[in-house]
Amino acid sequence: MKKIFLSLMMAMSLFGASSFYSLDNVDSLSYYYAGKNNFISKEHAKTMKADVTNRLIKAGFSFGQTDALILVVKINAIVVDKTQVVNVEISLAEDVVTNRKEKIEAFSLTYIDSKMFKTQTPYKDSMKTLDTLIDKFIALHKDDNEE
Amino acid sequence: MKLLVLILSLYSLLFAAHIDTFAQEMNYSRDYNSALAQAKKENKMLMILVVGDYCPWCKKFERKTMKRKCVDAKVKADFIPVIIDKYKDKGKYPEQFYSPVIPSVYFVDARNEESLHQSVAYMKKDEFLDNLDDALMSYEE
Repeated sequence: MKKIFLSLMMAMSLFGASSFYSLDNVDSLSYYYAGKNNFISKEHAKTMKADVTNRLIKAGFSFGQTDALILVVKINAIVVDKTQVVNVEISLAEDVVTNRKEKIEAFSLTYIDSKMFKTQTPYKDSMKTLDTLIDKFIALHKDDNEE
Repeated sequence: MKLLVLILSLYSLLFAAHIDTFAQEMNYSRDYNSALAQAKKENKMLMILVVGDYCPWCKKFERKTMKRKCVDAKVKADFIPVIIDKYKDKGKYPEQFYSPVIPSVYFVDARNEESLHQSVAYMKKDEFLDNLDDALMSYEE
């Protein structure tokens, strides 16, 4: 088990910024925000949604279609010694047909990326981190869909 | 009889491991020794693709690189490909190909089972095509 974990970690470091997830044919998205924190107000959440969706539309994704894949943005935080520890995560959720007996259908996460950090300026740093995660998502999508 | 063969084939496909399905679909050998014999017979290099069923990078490499038509055509033209499960096939292939990192591809001179070139980790089709060229150059030298 240790060997498997070590190999996986070695492989992860070799591949650097790339990801083993596949974003082939991911075109249509639906935005969903979930967060447990004390620094993102409803207004902030609206701005964040507009920023994320506009960037993704510019990158070629569409929003508002039926049965789109769900792009989940999750920002959770806890306070430790007067400092916020924040976890920003984006994931993709969709219906998939599994390889289990009887080809069971499941609502699954098919992409996930996150970053955890401590900060004194949680809103600003969360938006910066979210930007980075969206950048990586767009880059991987481009990479996976090129001929 | 034909019906029995068909049922057996369907049954084996249904319960085949991912690696077996890939091998069948891509016409890769699953047996090191028979692939080696074929490589000797056809005077080609042996290409050993070492993967693991727990390894997401291996699956991506198979799906995004090895299944590309341009890659597959070059592999089939110049190499005899065999796919090996790093752990489950242990003992069925030589220890010098027990790679610490997967996916790994060994390009082997079938005459003496010496690895002349190795590609390590996931790579995109263009990079892997370059590796195929490098392997062939090593063989011709």
